[in-house]
Amino acid sequence: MIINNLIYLTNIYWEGCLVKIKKFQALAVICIIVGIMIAIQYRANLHSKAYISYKQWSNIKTEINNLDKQNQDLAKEIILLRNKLARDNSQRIDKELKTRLDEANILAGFTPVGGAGIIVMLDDNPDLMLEKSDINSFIIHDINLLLVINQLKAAGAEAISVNSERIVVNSEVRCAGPTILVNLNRVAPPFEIKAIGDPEKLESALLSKEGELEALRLMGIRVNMQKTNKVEIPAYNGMPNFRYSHSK
Amino acid sequence: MWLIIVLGLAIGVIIGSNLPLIIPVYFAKYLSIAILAGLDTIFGGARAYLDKEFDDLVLITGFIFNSLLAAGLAYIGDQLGVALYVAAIFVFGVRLFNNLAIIRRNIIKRPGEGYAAH
Repeated sequence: MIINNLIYLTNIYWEGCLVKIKKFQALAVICIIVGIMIAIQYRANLHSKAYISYKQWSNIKTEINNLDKQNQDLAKEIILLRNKLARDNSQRIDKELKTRLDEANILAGFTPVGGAGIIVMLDDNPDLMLEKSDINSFIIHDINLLLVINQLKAAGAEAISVNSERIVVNSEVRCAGPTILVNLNRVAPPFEIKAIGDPEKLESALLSKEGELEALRLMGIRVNMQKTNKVEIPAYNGMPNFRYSHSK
Repeated sequence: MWLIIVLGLAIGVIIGSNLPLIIPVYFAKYLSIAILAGLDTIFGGARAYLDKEFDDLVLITGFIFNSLLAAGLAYIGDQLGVALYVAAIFVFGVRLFNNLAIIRRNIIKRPGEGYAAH
């Protein structure tokens, strides 16, 4: 009797609970979601501790010191191995020297080079004659050429020429009356600037906002750009003549 | 009621700490606001229950809408360079304390008395 009653009462109690739970389903779901978010946030904070204890700090410091020492040892080993390699196979050294010589020749401009690149044509403003005021603002100056060349260099150009004058390490671009001197040779408009390098990179560098070409276009200079796979750049036609420099 | 809240939060924390999920630091701010909105909703629900006005539709819509609004506010603030999410944190914080105070008074209310003024 009593037990039956108890069971009946507990049944009623559980049913009541179930009804309540049904009513508070939404609350339960939200509680679970918030719980998940709190746990995730807590873990995120654990992972991004901005402050470290002194012990951690000293541990890290000793680790860094050890790694530094390892680095130094490895650097010494690299030098040793390099020397060994140099002694071991002279054949490969010959080959390597050859490629390095070729590279140096390209860099110095002593050999004609070809490859993918860009050709830029610059010509003075055709309305030059109509303007009676200031001619200076309608022609290409040495500084304009220099800036274009510099932009090409910055974009990774490997070889550059202006009207078949190879730009080498001590090439000058300067004003000489009505013409411009490059490598002490006169060049005159239209200027044909050739550059070997990644054509896309070179073009995007030249077309960059507030770049030199934009300024030239504003001046009315005719600009013509052409990406090709075949750019031929002649060799530097001067001879090296070192009077003051001695290699050490 | 209280059992549901405590159990729900506990289950959520257990699930969350076992989830292989790490949120980037950039989103921590948004998540903190969402947590505040959720806590606000929970305590608001508890208060409504004590006031015998509990409605699950209001609860769910409040949770979603408040979270979205707070996150949106924080996002706009990020775009404008103004710490607008502070506004959401402030509002939710104040409401949390209000709700908690009302719940507390409701629980310790003596028969025949209205709300105490403290």
